[in-house]
Amino acid sequence: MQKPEGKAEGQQPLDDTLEKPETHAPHSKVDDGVENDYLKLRRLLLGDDYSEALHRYISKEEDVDRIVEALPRALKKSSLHDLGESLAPVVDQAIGKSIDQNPSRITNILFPIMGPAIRKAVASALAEMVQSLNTLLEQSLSLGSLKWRIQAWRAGMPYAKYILLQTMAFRVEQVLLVHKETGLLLNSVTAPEVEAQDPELVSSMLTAISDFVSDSFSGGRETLERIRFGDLELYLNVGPHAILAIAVRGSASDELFLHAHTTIEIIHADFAQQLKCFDGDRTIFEKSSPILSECLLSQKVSHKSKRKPWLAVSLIIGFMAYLIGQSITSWQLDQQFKQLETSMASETGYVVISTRREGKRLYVKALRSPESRSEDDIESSLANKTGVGIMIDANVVHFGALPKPVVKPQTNYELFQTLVYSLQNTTFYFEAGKVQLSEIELMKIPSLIKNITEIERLVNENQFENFQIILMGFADSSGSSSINKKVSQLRANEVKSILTANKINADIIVTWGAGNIDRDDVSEDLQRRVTLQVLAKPKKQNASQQGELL
Amino acid sequence: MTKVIAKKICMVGPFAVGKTSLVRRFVESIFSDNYMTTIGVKISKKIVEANDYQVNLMIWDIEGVDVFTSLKPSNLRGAAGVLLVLDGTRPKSIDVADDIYKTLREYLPDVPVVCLLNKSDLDIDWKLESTDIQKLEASGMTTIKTSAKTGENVEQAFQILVDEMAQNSEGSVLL
Repeated sequence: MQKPEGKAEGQQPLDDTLEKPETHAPHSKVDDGVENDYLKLRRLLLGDDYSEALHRYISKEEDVDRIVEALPRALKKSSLHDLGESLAPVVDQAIGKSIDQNPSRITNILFPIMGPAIRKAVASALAEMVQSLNTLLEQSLSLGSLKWRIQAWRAGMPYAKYILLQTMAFRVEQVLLVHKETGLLLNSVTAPEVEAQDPELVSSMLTAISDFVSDSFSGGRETLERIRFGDLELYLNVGPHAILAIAVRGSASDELFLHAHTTIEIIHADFAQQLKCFDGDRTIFEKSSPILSECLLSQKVSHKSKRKPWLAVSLIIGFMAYLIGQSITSWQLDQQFKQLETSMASETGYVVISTRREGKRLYVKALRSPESRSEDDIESSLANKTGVGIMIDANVVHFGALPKPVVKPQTNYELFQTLVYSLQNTTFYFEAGKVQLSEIELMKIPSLIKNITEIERLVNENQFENFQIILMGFADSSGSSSINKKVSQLRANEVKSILTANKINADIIVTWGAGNIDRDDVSEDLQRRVTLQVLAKPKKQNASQQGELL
Repeated sequence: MTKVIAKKICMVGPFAVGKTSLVRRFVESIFSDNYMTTIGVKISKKIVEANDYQVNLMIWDIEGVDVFTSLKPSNLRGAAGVLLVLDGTRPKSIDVADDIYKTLREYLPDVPVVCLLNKSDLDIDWKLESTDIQKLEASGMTTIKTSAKTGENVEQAFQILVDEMAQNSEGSVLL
């Protein structure tokens, strides 16, 4: 009712204003008096109200008031889309102008928002980079990566793409379609050979858990989207009336998420009415089985892991074979070295001083006689035999011929003289308080026996006579002289018994214990001893030389 | 083949009145004297017959209500029937029943509610007067004395609820 009134009010002054300029128009001067009368009449009829209305019209105060009142309601009434469309250019322009006029203002407004946003973006980008670097390292340093590289090469695709395919290995084990309001199961499909709990119980419990989490942490505003335990992950796609729950083993790909989204959308489109009025009868939802089955995606990579032990086993076997091979070769080398060393040792005219193994070569230091084979000769002949190199460093020494010039008694007399000389130079030493010979001293016995036997031979050949050996025992200064006498006698007897045990005629041996007779400055070790004295003289034809002998 | 339908029902009531025991008696025919409080919700499944239909009952055994725990509406959502369990030996549980019933009606205005007066085996300690029972029935509930220990009326109580649910949805396609 207000509007027509407003219009009427507005129209009256409109006529008036249209007339008003005419009053000032040049041609109106003709009937000035008529005009004045007309104005007077109007003033009389309408009074002050008229001028007030006129004033209000010109100032447009009323219009502004009315618009202020109507605008919020009008905005509310108009559809958001239309409003946004019509306002967009205006707002755009306004913001543009505002920035032009005072750029610092917009900077100040944006500052607290931009800072955290940029930090968040940088942090997430960094975290992503570290994560991908870590994955890359894991993948490029593992054994499997080598296999993957080969497989990627065989499949003719870039390694990065192949890795992507491999890491996304997963298997959807179960898909549940759950009524959101009641938590009742609408339909479910399970992958073959998967042991699943009663899906009805699972779906109810899932709704309860989802509600619990949602109520506890977000006051019911947000919905639970993921549940993870071990390598099984539950993805919940929540629609207005139904929830699509997908149980995935492994890490699911984006493809699956996309698929799940489309599936829940299709189900809502196909069963909109049935979902809204669901009263417990789920026969109608059996039709959704094919759509749900499409979500049972899988990638077969995870099955390959079962074969992994074979790779490890063959690797270990290979390694062991290598080790065995190595030890066999080193044993063979060792044998070759030993063979070389023995052949070197048996080489006539060579005395090996030292050998050194280095790699596949034997370094030999030796002395050689001038008549022996040359080093090069030996080197080449031995190298051909064994396959192992040999380096000989030999100094020529005239040792091979030296023993020969040793003066050999030209006559029996000279031989006799030598024998007697060596006999008389033999001394047996004893340890303190001991009357038995030590092991070391016993070693003097064989040569002594040999010499005595030789002398006996000469005696028997009737060249010498009166052959007698005097064994004289001595003792050190400790102990009484009677004991020393006794000990020295026992020591002489000991040597005699050893000689007689070695088939030396006891009749030619005389023993005597001298006790302690040495000077004080002779060391005690030397004092405990048994010495030999030989008595013999050549038969008459050699008599001239006898004096010299004894 | 009979038609199979699924229904959600809720067990509500004050704590320690025997909700879980009733469910165990009904579903597994077991009774244990040990009291173990329910936290959150436990869901069991039982198949019953009604009007030539096979009804898969999903029984939501909801934690007991006390001063600190109130009934969570999210647990009640979509229930087709409710069993309100009270302890006949604890007259105070009647007062709590009033509050619970109001909450139930707020979220589930039309579903049938059957009131189970549990622990009927404890005659000596029985404290409920007939006036109390009349008061409960006046508010629109069917009442029945039950004992999870002896099994008395347990099957019947669930059957009454299922039948009432069937009547409630008469005129609609099912039950």
